[in-house]
Amino acid sequence: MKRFFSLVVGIILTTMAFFANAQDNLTGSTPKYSSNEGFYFGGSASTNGWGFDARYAFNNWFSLKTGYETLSFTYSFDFDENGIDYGADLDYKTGGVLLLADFNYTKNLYISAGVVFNSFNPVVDGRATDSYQLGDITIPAEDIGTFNIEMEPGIKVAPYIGAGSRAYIGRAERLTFNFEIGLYYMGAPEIAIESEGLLAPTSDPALAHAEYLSDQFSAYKIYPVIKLNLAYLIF
Amino acid sequence: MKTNIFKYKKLLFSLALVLTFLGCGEMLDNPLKDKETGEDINLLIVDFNIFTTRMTYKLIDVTSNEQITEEARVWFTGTNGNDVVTFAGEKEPEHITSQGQLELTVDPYVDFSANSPLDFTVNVEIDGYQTYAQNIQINLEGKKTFELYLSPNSGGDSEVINGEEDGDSFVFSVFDATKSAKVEKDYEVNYTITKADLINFKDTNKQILFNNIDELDSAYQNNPDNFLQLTFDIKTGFPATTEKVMQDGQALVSLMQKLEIGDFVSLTVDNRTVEDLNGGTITQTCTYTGTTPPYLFGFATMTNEIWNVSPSPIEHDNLNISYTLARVSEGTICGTGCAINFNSNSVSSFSIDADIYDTDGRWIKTTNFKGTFPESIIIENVPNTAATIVFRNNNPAFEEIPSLSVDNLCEGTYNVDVNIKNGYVEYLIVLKAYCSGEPTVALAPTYSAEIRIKNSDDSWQGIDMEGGVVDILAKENEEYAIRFLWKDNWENDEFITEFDEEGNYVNPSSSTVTSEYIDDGRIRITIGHIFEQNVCDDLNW
Repeated sequence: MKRFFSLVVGIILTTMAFFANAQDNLTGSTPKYSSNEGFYFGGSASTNGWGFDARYAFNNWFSLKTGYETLSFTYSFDFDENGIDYGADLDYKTGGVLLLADFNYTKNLYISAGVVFNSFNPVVDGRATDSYQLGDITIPAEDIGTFNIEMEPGIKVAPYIGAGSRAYIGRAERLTFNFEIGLYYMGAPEIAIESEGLLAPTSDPALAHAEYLSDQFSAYKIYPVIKLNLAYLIF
Repeated sequence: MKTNIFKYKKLLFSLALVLTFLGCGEMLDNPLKDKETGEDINLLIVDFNIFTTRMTYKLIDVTSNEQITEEARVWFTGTNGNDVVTFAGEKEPEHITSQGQLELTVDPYVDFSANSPLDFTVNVEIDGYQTYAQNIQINLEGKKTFELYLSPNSGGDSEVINGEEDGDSFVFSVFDATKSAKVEKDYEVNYTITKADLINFKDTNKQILFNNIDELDSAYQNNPDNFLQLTFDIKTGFPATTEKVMQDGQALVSLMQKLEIGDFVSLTVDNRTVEDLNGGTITQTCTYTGTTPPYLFGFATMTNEIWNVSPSPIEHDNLNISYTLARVSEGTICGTGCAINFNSNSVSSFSIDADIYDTDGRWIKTTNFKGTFPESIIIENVPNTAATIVFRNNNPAFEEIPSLSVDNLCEGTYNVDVNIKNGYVEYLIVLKAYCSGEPTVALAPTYSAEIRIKNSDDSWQGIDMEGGVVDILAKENEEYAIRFLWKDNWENDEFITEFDEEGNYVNPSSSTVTSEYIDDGRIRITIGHIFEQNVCDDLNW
């Protein structure tokens, strides 16, 4: 937890410092609208996926926002372990539903906090791709077996904190562009394994290999977020 | 506020970067490197349990019933001889062991069934023992234990047979067992030497014994008692085995029992030891003296892996006399026989030895049942007859198992309830075996292992490990030794059944031993064993 708080504070301060100068450049002179109240709807792209969000600014310093993000891609790769060749497909899925509150401490700089109903769920499906020569016996790849390693966040409803800068574009300042850096605390990921064939012990609870791998990845409690957002003031 | 904060923006930015990296420090570690050792981790654990038929061969001295720890050469011949492999998948031309035991398996890609069993011959050569050969048929996949009773060249019962004059010959028909209690035999082995041959035998001084028959007769008349003494070293106590026996020109799988193996020790004539038959012969005959003669009875010799059993006399023209007397039972042998369900109130691996006797009390064969309760095991290669199965009381964790009467060894299902002795507790053992030199390469062996209380006189208890996991019974607060045979050496480890209230292992160990309670209330003991042998090399890792 000590490291987590260091990380949180670090990211916030970095963001604040990074955008210290940017705010004036983005916003230019004093806006025509002295108030940014209203309902904004827009799209976003982040390390947590593509999506949309809706934000209601109650006043100049407080707004609530919700949104949905999703990211999914497949990456195929090969590796070998102990002389056995494997092929694997990483089916990377992340995203979630966001419930956040923004606190503006200047017109353009804000801190965002809330929770994300996290759908982080990378899955690796793999299989032996080549036969294995065990002494004088050739074991066909299909007998070596398959495996499925699935990672889920330790905390499904993950707290989120971030900091960003929002620029108001146009004379009417109805269009906003914001850049945000933040992180989810999703807890130590939990790894589940299914395997069969000669790889069956990998998923045998008695051998606790899933627990071992979970421990290996336990440092990955934080999901970093870099987000770009474009939104329009609907009303 | 703005002014206050951003006045120190460079300082804040630097501080922020440091804090960020501190927070992410662990995330920068490669999770594919073991946290403690820094070695590459295994994403996957492999168990080469492609082997569905596992075989344990025990080499036993028939005179002592102890496993033979002299160096033994074991090789396999016959139709499927080349399909016997090591657990490293190697088809070795021969296997060398000094442990009295071999763990071998069968090429899993060779199909077999009761209609087309695996068929091979195991051959064993050990200095000081007769070369051993046994036909083996395997009808079903599973765990097999073969006890091979080898006959030492000496060390059996010393039988001294006195020769008596019978016309133109001397006949040896009186025997005296000098070593152990006589076994009541329903057969006789007799010898005849003609006087014409006897006079030409040479003693240890290369001198012929007598110049003529008159001289022989005269010497005999002067000392008729103990005039001729033929001494053999006799080994008995062999179980019946299923062998290929030539019957009416056909090699048929039959139940054959070696009644005795005899090795010549000495022949003395008038207190002179004979060294050379010098062209003469000794005629050896056998006679069945029991009430119901077996289907085949006689001297057994193996040619081209097929036994010939014949009562025909044998003419020996030298003193290297060694014989095997055997009987062959009539009737069919069923490759797959009755099923025996082993039940217990415990979840435990078991290895139970049993002797099967026919209704006349004759020992048919020894078999071993290995599995995990509850398990149904089918007996293989048994005669179509009623029998009694007597379970050996050599497992300290089990109460004595009553004998089981079987109506027909070839059919039916029978239940055996095994009760656990008080004081024994169920544990789950997990063995993670690591290669020496590569401690991150983990094996989860499917293998036969043995345990017993360390330094005790208890019998080693066979346990059956599947993927490195085995259920065992053990006493609390005892130090146990566990071992399994890889090639010619035992891999040894140990653990103590002493834990704290949370189930944690409380004793130091040369291996990594940890423990914890599992959901069913048992304690799981995880043993990280580093192989002493080059197992990874054997597996090409």
